[in-house]
Parts: sequence; structure tokens; C-alpha cells
Amino acid sequence: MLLPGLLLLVLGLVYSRTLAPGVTWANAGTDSGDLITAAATLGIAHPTGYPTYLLLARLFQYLPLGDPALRTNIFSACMAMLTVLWVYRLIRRIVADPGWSGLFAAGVAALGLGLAPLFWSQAVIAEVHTLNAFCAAVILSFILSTLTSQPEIPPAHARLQGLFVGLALGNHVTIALLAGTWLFTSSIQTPAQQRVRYLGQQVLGIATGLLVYLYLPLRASAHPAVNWGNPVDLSGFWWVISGAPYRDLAFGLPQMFLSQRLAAWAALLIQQFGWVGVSLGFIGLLYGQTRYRQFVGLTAIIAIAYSAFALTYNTADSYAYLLPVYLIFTLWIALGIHTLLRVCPQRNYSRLALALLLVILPAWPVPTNARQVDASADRRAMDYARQVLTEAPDQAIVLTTSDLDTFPLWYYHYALAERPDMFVVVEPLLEFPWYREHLRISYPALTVPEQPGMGRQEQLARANPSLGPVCRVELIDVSPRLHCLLEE
Amino acid sequence: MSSPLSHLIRPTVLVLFIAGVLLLGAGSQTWATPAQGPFGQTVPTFTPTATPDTITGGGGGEDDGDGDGGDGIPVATLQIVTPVAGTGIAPTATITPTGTMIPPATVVPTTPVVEVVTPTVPVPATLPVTGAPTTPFYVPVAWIIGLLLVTGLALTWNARRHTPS
Repeated sequence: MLLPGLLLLVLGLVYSRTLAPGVTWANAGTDSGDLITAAATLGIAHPTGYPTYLLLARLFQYLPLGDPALRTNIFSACMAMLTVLWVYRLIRRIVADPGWSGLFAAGVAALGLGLAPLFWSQAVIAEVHTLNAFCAAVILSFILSTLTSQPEIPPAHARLQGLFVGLALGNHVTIALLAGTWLFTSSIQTPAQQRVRYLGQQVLGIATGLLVYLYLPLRASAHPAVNWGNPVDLSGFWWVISGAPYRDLAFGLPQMFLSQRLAAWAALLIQQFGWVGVSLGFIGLLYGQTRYRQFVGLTAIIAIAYSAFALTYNTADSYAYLLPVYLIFTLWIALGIHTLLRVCPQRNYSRLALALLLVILPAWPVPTNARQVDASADRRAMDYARQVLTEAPDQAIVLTTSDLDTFPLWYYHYALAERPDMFVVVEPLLEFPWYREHLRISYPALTVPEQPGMGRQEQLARANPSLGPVCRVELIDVSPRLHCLLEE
Repeated sequence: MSSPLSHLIRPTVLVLFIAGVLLLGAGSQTWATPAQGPFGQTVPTFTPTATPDTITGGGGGEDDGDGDGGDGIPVATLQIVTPVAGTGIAPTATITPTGTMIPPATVVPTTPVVEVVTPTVPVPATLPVTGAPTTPFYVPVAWIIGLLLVTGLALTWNARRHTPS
């Protein structure tokens, strides 16, 4: 219990020191405003909706500490710490060495994951990725259990595990890869006469967990302030849960960019664990002394699959989908450390020296990483939103165009109810009928042209002569600007 | 019975893995993407002629370099925001409303453009996340030494395992 407690203490201190103070743009966290606002208003976040995340984040927003944005950031940090603890536990099972070598390998590797820049960067902002990493760690332990358990598996366990998997799918759909692996391995491992019954229990559990998606139509019907896709009917529901507006991005990277991404994949791996960690990981993969070689081999296939998805997903921040890969690499690093310690002769304190070396070398880049991921001083999104809210004219219709200028405004305007006289309109979303309908319900005083096309700013101005000016937010390089159309 | 050469497979694979990551990682460190800038693309982009069905989260075009991180935000909509205070801009054919809810352009007064907010909040560069830090000269040397050590260790260990006691 001492080592897990120490891990929690260290990571708790590190994360709290570098936690974003509110809504943030740091660490590719532009979606944080959308997620925080959707949770605070019990609304619908961007596709695929993330109902599990929103409900858990909402619980954290009841913390008596700071504002809802800070509390949601704390949620991410807590999920990150839980992930590290679960990975520690998983390593202890895989290494299966009650001696100090096993403890040391698990502790150092788990801490290495917690301090890996990408993992750390997501632990200090409001995003779905640390919850997804936690789900990945837990489902990996389910897979390990199915590979090692005896034929008699209580059906209640299968149902409970299925429930967790269903809820995990309610956070991020990429967990489907691990869920599929879990179903596949358990169907192979289960004796033929029990297979159908056992699979039935698992599927029942998953279906129960997936009921969390009912949150979407239930809440959408109440017309919350953030209501992506208005999923009250089947087409809207499918639009949200299938990630319709982003579907073309999956495996959509043009081939010419692939080689650069592959190089960046390698650079990122080195950045996470250092060359020592990378070497240890591959040593663990190839030489790791464990009873569960089958599991280790399976993790390699899962890591390749997740890497392929992240590499070919056509957005600038798809490297965040590599987190499950780094989680798996952490298991290999632990095996590598453990293997080296066992190979190293015990005489003349050489094991102790090796252990020290294995701590010092990976710890070397931690201060550099801290500077890179530290979001504690990032007030850009907050300052931007405050400035727009302060300086927008009375009853202004503020037009935004991107994640960057939209979501911080949503947070202050919808979640904190600041400037209720203002109208925030996201210009690209005007193309969607559901958004135009949503605006009419959210802002009864606003007239939304039915068929917006070119010149939306002018159209809105003409349609709403009794309201304030229509102002377009521009973020050019480093400065936010408001350009307003004023009638003479 | 395995041949002596088969004992070399794993060490060779190990060296190839490590060297592969090292060599790959020493090259480009940018998470290349054609679809957008560094700020995400959750708000979908579109072209003015697109129907809702064709709207996607990306698009595949080059970043338009307008600082918003998007690739498809129509420049045409920015035509009237030239910040010249007090200058009237008459509605043109391109912005003549067609919807039934919108009054005819002729009854709309000329709309001068006034820049209301002057930028005062500096936005520093995004905190770097992707890509490894710039590599000092001694890192490749350390890598080569490390590789040699690891290879030696792996080979020695492998030999020990397969030596009959």
C-alpha cells in the first residue's frame, strides 16, 4: 500500500501544480470549453456525445472548489491518477514477483506513465482522454483475466465487466477495439458448452452499460444550452453517436502525410519515455519474463491497431489516441526493468546501481516535460472570453467560426450565465437545421434566417434590426478582434 | 533442435526495433495533417455551397493561414469587415437575401463597418506538445553507445540462456 500511496502523492502534487486554472486552449484542449459547458448545463457535447464523461464530470462539478471549469480539470487529474494506480496493479499481476524487483518495476513504470508528457498534458485539462485511458487499463485487466482464469467464470462477473465496457463505450468509441479484443479472447478461452451463455452475459452487460446513451435524447428534449445534433429523434441520435461530421476523418489522412506521421510517432514515443524507456519497453516485449506471454503478444497487436488509427486519423490532435499505446508500452517497460534486474548479478550492489540508473535516466527529461505541459499559467481562453464579453455591445449577436473562439465563450455565456443579453452564434453550424432550430429555442428574440449561405453576418443583421450589432470574432495570429456591423 | 542462428533472432529484432524508432524519430517530428491548424476541428468546416450532408469535420484542403486553424472557413464572408470606420458599404448582389423571412435589400440601410473592439489580449504561442525537443549533438552518440550496450547485453544474456550448464 505504501508504493501506490506514494504514486498518488507524487502525481497529485505534480498535476495540481500544473493544472489548468479554468477553460483552456493549452495542450490541444480547445474542446475543453465544449465539454465543461455541456457537463455544467447537462447538455450534449460534440459527437459522439460522451454521455459517460459528461455525467461523471457533472458529479465533479459539485466539488466546493473553484469554478466548474477547474473542477472538471480536477476530474481529468483524478482519472489520470486512477489510471496509473490501475496500471501499477496490472503490472504487479503480469510480473508476478512479490520481491522488491517486481515492486520497483511496477512503481517506476507506472510513475513513468504518469509523467509521460502526453498523458500528463491530458491530466491537467478537461478532456475525455484520461477517462478513456482508465477504461483501457481496466479492460486490459479484463483481457488478462480471461486469458488466465479457470473455465468456471461466474456469470455475474461477466455481466459486471460487460457493464463497465458499455459505460466505457459511452465515453469514447475507440475503446471498441479493446472491447472487441475482450469479447474475442473470452469466447476463445471459454469452454464450448459455456460459450454462448457466457457471451450472452457479456453482451447483456454491455447493452446495459450502453443505456447511458439514453442520456442524449432525454437531455436533448429539455433543450439544454449546448445541444449538438438535437438527438431527440433517430436521425439526430445517429448523427451524434456515429460521429457523422467527423466520419471522413477516420482513416482519412492522405497517403503523402503518412511517412511524416510515422516519424512523428517514433519521435513522440521517445519524447514520452526517453531512449532508455523505449529500449526497456522493447526488451520487455521481447524478453519479458512472465507467465503471460500470450497477453503480452496480444498487447502488441492492440498497440499496432491503436497506432494505425491515430496515424491515419485526419486531425492535428489525433496523437491523443496514442494514449492506450503508451499505456501498453508502460507494461512492457515494467517487464524490461524487471528482466534486467533479474539478469543483473546481485553482488557488489550492482542491482542497486542499475535500479538507480533506471530511475535517474527516465527522470532526466521530467523538468523539460513539465514546462511543455504546464497549463497552470494558461489564461488565454479565459482572457479572450472575458474580453469579448466585456466589450461586445448590448444585445450583440456574436458570430464565431472555430473551436478556439466558440467554446470559451460558450462556457462563460452558457455555463456561468454571463452576458445573458448577448447571442452567441457559431457560423459554420448554421448550415445544420438542428442548430438553427436550437438557436430559435435558446434565443426566442433572435430571428435565424432559414437558408443561410453567403454573407451570414449581413443576413443576421437584416433579420434582427431591433437587436444589437452582429459582431464577428476574429482571432488573427495572437489577437482577438470583434468586427461589428452597425446600422447608421 | 534450434540452430545457433535462431538464437540471434530476438536480439536482432530488438536492435531493429530500437534503431528503427531512433532513426525514424530523428527525422520529422511534426504530426502532419492537411486538414487543419493546431487548434482542433470540432466545429465543422464547410464551403458556402455545401449542403449539410456534405459538411465534414475536416476537408483535406490546405490550412488557409488565416490564423483560425481552419481550412474551409469561407473567406467570402469576411468581405465586409474591412475596418474602415464610417465607410458605408452598400449591399451587393452576393449578399442579397433570398429567404422569405428576410426583408428586401432595398429597405435595409447602408451598413457601415465599425471596429468595436481593439485587440489588447496577447495570445502566446500554443504550448508545444508534439515532437521531441531539439536534439543536442551528444544524443545520437549516447544512443549509439546505448544501442551497443543493449545489443551486447542481449546477446550475452541470450548466449547464457542457451549454454548447457
